[in-house]
Formats: sequence, C-alpha cells, structure tokens
Amino acid sequence: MTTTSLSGPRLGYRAGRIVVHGWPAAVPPPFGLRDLGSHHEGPARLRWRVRQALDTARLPYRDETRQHEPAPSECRPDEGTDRPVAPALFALRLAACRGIFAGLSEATRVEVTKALCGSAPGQALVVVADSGAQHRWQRDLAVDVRTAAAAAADMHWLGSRHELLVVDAVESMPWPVVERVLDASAALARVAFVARNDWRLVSRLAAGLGPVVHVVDDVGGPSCHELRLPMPPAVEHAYAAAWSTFLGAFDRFAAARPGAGFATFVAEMRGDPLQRPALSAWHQALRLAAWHEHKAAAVGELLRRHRGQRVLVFTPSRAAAYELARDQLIAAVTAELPARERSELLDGFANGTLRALAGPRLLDLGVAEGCADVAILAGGGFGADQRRARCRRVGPRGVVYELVSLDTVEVGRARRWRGAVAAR
Amino acid sequence: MRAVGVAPLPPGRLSFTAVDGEIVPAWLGDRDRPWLRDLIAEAHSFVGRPFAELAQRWRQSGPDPRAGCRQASALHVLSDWLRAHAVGVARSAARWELFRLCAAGVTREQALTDVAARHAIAVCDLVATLYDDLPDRRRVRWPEPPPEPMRLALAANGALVRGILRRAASAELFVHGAARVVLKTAWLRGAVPTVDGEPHGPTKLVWPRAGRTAHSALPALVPLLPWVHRYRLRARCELPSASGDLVLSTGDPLPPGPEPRLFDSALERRFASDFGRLLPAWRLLREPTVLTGAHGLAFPDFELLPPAGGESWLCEIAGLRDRTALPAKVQLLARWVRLVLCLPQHEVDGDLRRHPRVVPFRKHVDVQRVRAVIGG
Repeated sequence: MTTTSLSGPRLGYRAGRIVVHGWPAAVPPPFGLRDLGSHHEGPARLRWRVRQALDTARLPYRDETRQHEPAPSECRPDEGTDRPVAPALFALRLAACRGIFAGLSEATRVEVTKALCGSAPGQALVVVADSGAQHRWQRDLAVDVRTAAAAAADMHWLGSRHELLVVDAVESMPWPVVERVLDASAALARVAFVARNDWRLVSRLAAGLGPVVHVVDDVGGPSCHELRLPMPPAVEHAYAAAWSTFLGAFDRFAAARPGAGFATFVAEMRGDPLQRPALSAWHQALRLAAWHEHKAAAVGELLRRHRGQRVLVFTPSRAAAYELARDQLIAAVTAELPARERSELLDGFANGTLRALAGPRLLDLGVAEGCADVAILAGGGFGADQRRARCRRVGPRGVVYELVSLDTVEVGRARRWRGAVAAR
Repeated sequence: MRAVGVAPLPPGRLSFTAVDGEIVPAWLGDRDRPWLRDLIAEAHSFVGRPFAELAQRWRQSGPDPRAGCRQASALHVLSDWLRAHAVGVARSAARWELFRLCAAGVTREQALTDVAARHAIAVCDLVATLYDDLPDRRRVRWPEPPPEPMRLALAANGALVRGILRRAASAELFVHGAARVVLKTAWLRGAVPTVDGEPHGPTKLVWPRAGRTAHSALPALVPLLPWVHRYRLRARCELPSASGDLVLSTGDPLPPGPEPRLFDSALERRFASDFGRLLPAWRLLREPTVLTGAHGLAFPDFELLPPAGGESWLCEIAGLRDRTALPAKVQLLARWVRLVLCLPQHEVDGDLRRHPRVVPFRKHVDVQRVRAVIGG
C-alpha cells in the first residue's frame, strides 16, 4: 500500500507520540491508539501497528512521521548467505524486522546490526547502556550510538529520525528508561540484544520490540541456536482455531479435575466420542506448528549457509523429510525406505559420499555420535531424551539449530527440553 | 485375487463384547453387506491415486454409523489387500544418483536434468514421483477379481480373531479331522502343545502357558480351523481392555486358509476312491486323530465310519519309504484294537502275515480285504 497517497489517513509524529488524522471509521484502531475527537494519538511505537492495520484494510495513507527522508517501504537486512548471522537475520526478516536476540556474542551483535543497517547507516539508532559501550560501538560501527539515558532525554524529537532502533544489553538498563525509548521511537525495525532468554524481561519487551527470534545457548558442547519463526498467516489462523478447540475442552477438564494431569486428560478424551475432536485439534495444532513453509525456507537457508558441511536435518514427519528431499535434494532416511537403501544412505553419510541427511527418527541413533557438523531440529520430537540423542550426533565444535514456531506450544516445549538436557 | 496374508488386527482396533467371562468377537456377516459395499466403492474411487490419500481419507472420515467399531477390522483388511496390489515406479537408483550429484556440488537444476535424462523422464515427473515406490506412495490398483463384501467380512473376522488370539495366555483345542496339519503348524511355529489323543474321538491340544510362543502359533491355526471336520478352541485372552475366554467352534464365520492337500499320496487317493465306490454307506475322515505311543505320535490316515453310527475303525496305509518306521506301525497295531494296518507285501513276513488286521498290498490297497477286516 502506498505511503505517499494524497487522500486517506495521515500519520505524523509529535513529541514521542504518533498522531493519526482521518482514521477511517470502518477500521478498528490498534490497541493503545486513543480517539481524541479531531485525531487519534498513541505512543510512537504503535506506528507499525497503525500501518499494518491500514495495509490489512487496503486503505491508502500518508506516513509523514519522518519529515526529512521518505520512510523505506520494508526492512530487508543484507543476509548474504556467507555471513555467520544469516540464519538469525532470516528469522528476523520473517518476523517483520522486529525481535529480540538472546545470548549472542558482542561481535555477532555488531555483525547483525551492520547487516540491518545495510546501505543506509544514517537511519539507525543504537541505544547502549553506558558511555563505555557507546565508545566500543562507535569504534565498530558508523551509526548514531547513544546511551540509554541520553536517548530517553532526547527521544521526544529523536524518535522520528530513525527507521532502525537497536537496543543493546537491555538487562543493564533501568526499565523506565528503556520503556521511554521504546515508546517514543517510531522506528519500524526494532531489535534488542539480551544476555539470556529471561521470560520476565522478554515479555515486558515484547510490546515495544516484538518476540524473541533467536536464542543462542553456548554452554559447552555444540552451540545451540533457537530460531523462532512466525507461521504463515493461513497456518497461524488454522493453529489458533485448533488450539482454541483444544483449550475449550482442556479448560473444562482442568476445572472439573484440578489435580489430574495431561495424560489423564488424553486417556479420558480418547474414550469419549464427544471429546475426541478436542484431542484431534491438539494433534493438528502440533502438526501445524511442527512444519510449515517458513520452516522449510529456513532449512533451505541453513543448508545453503552450511554447504559442504555435514548436516543432519531432524524433521517432524516423513512427509517433511520427503519434501526436503525434493526441494533441497538431500537424502531422506525413513523407515519406509527399503532396508538396503537405508543402510546405503547411512553408509554414504559415514564415508562422506553424502553431506546431508534428513529424517524424522532413524537419524537419532542411526548416525555415529559427533560425526555431524550441523544439526537442524526442524520441529516435533518426543522429549528431552530424544533431543539429547540428536544433539550428540554433532561434534563439540558444531552447531545445532532449533526451529521453533513463534507464539506456539513449541516455544515452551523447546525451553523445557533444553533445560532438562542441560540439567543432566 | 492373489492370496494376500492379512496381518492380525492390532489391539486398539479389536471389536468384541466381554460378557460372562467370555470374549465374543463382533463378527461381520450378511447384515454388514451394505456398508461393506460402500466401503469397497469408496476405495475403488481412489484407483490410480497414491494409497496414502485413501488412508488419509479413511483416517479423517468418521466411522460409518451402520458399522460402528466393526469398521476398523474391515478397513484393516481392505487396506492390506490394496497395499499388496498397489503399484509403484522404481525410483531408488534415481534418488541415489541425485543425492550423490548434489553432494558433489552439482546444482539442483543440473542434477535433476542429468538424472531425468538418464532415466528418460521429464524433470517435473522425476521430482513429483521421487518417492512413489514407497508403500504409502504407490498407486492403488484394483485387485482382480475385485473385492467382494462377504469375502471382506470373512477376512475381517479372521484378522479380528487372530488379533485376539495374539493375547492368549493359555489355550486348548479339540480337533477331529485334519489333526496332523494343525499339529504340524503349531510345531513349526514353536508352540508344542500337550497332546491327548483318543482313537475314536477328538484330539485335545493344550497350551497351558501360551505366552510368547503362542503369540504367532495360535493365530496361524485360525485359517486351518475351517478345514477341520469338527473343532472347539477355548483360549484365555488378556486384552488391554478386558480379559476372558475366546471360544471358537465349528461353524463360526472364519475364512478358510489355502486348501490343504487332500491326500498325501496316490495310494491314499486310490484307496479313498475305491472305498467310496465299494462301501458307499460308510464315511471316510482324513487324519482324524493323533495317537500317542512309545515311538512318539502317530497320525492314522483315515477313520472309517460305519453307516449306522457304530464303532469306527482307524486305517493306516504305510508306504514305508523308511523301513525303520515299521516297528512303530506294528506297535500301533498291538495297542489299538480297531486299527487296520496296510503294509507293502514285501514287508509282511512271519507273524505279521497271519495277523488278522494287517492288509498287505502291492500297487494299491485292496478295499475288499479291508472290508473283510472291518466287516462292512
């Protein structure tokens, strides 16, 4: 949708707040945008929500938030498949350039920011905790770098000047300062770096920065990168519907039987024809979250990134393995294959004839420990033990990528399984 | 239709009623013909499409209200039949070439073009059918002759009973007729029963602790039972949802397995033919029972049943290809007073020649001489 139309709503910026004139009555305003009679007004961070609502309604509008330069239509980070941060940038692009990175090293943070700045470093604002960090960032990167306190003080006029907001080491900043910076910035692309994936912190940051898109766990053994990928809209709706069906039944069950666990729920639902749709919906939701086109694209991206290395892709289903085999031409190893072909494929990987294998179960133990450079856990799975078995296929200097569907049951499950494995 | 061995039903699909300590299978019969016909028609509409699509359709659609839980057994059998007849295209070699080329650094497009040219197919077809040789991706082909509702019902009953018997803890089987083939099958499957044979009645085979050996042996006996003249099987079954006795007896709607050989030799066939002609009022029963003796088990070839329901005779025709078997045969003669032993003339000497129940023969058994012994 054009942002320079002469008719329709007009978006402006005033003292850290976004002002919208001519909001169409037919479109509900985003939460937080208040109707003040002559115009609508809200924190500047709502700019992307306003634009999204108008784009969804297919209404032309004028975005005059940035008075000096035209706003870019879309953030497209320079991913460049040879960059070490390419997978993280891919996940960020899928999340509309709004997200939180957890556990990245300092060098990688700079690398990500460089890639995000692309060809227009003047449009980026990096907010850091103190002047020491400011000095370091300014040495590495030719962008506008300010301390959190300074940025918060100037945000009422500074907020409309950048399209990319990068907040480094959020956990080291006072929360009111962070809140002020995030609220008053009208930047469409927003990224924050946090030291670890603390759910209390990231849930507070979510409104201003978006979801966690990349978590790095580098404690001994292969480094683990959790990439949180949004689902395609159609899949997201189907997931929401299935999850709602399941939750309706589960809530009733939990209210009636507060002490009973999920296993009891499943056992009872199986025996009751009226409740079976809820159980089917649960399975469907898991299936939808486990594999979709964004995950397929991410696997393709990772395979390109690690071309020539020995890669194992653990898929949630046989169908996903076959899909990868067709699209990426990597061998699928499934129980359906004739035994001789299966052993040829595994031998081929062991002796280096094949560089990549994909499969749902057989690779867990069918490949020798430590013989792969990269493992991609694409979704699904059966618990912490299986996850540990999969990670052990990768050598100590290797990389494990875990693809997790954003805002789904997979997020918590991945955290639990990773925690259980780490605790042993 | 080619004979296809249908796997026993898995525990989750077993349909039965547990009542009074008995497990009564939910038999499929003539009343099920309507929905079975519809089920077959639905499967027929998937001819030429991957089997996985049909399986998914069956998974997603609920059970037919006319069938209820009994549909599971019919689906199981029909899918086994269709799987066995489904056709696939050979793609294993093409896959291996593709993956190797790609691992060697050749681009996807180039690898596909090369391999498709080598196998003389279009690139899009190669991609689309890359895994079409796998069981689920094979195309449904309609068996010839086509499946028929009542045949499907019988096969489903067989799969159901075999599925229940896989969980048998103990069992006992009375058979009268076809005893040898039943016992031989049990032996070959590793489940050796305790045998309690009577010369003129049913043989009792007992598996006191069936356990793992009977896991495969008892289900394997089911296709033989319809060939048995009279039988009664009682098996204690421990199913996940119930436990009780499964009782099967002559006349139950079970599918007969492959037809066993009617006679073991031309000698027996000729004897049966002559006997029927000369003594039309008598009945012949093949391998009626198992006799236990010092030399082990013996299987008389025939039981000769008189017309008025009188006491029957056993008849053993010994070809004696192995001469060491003669003492065992003679001992049978001594032990069972109503047994006629037919022996080759050159093997009969001394006392045996004077024995009233020994009938020597040269090329074929003279039925008149047997008749003289049994008084027919």
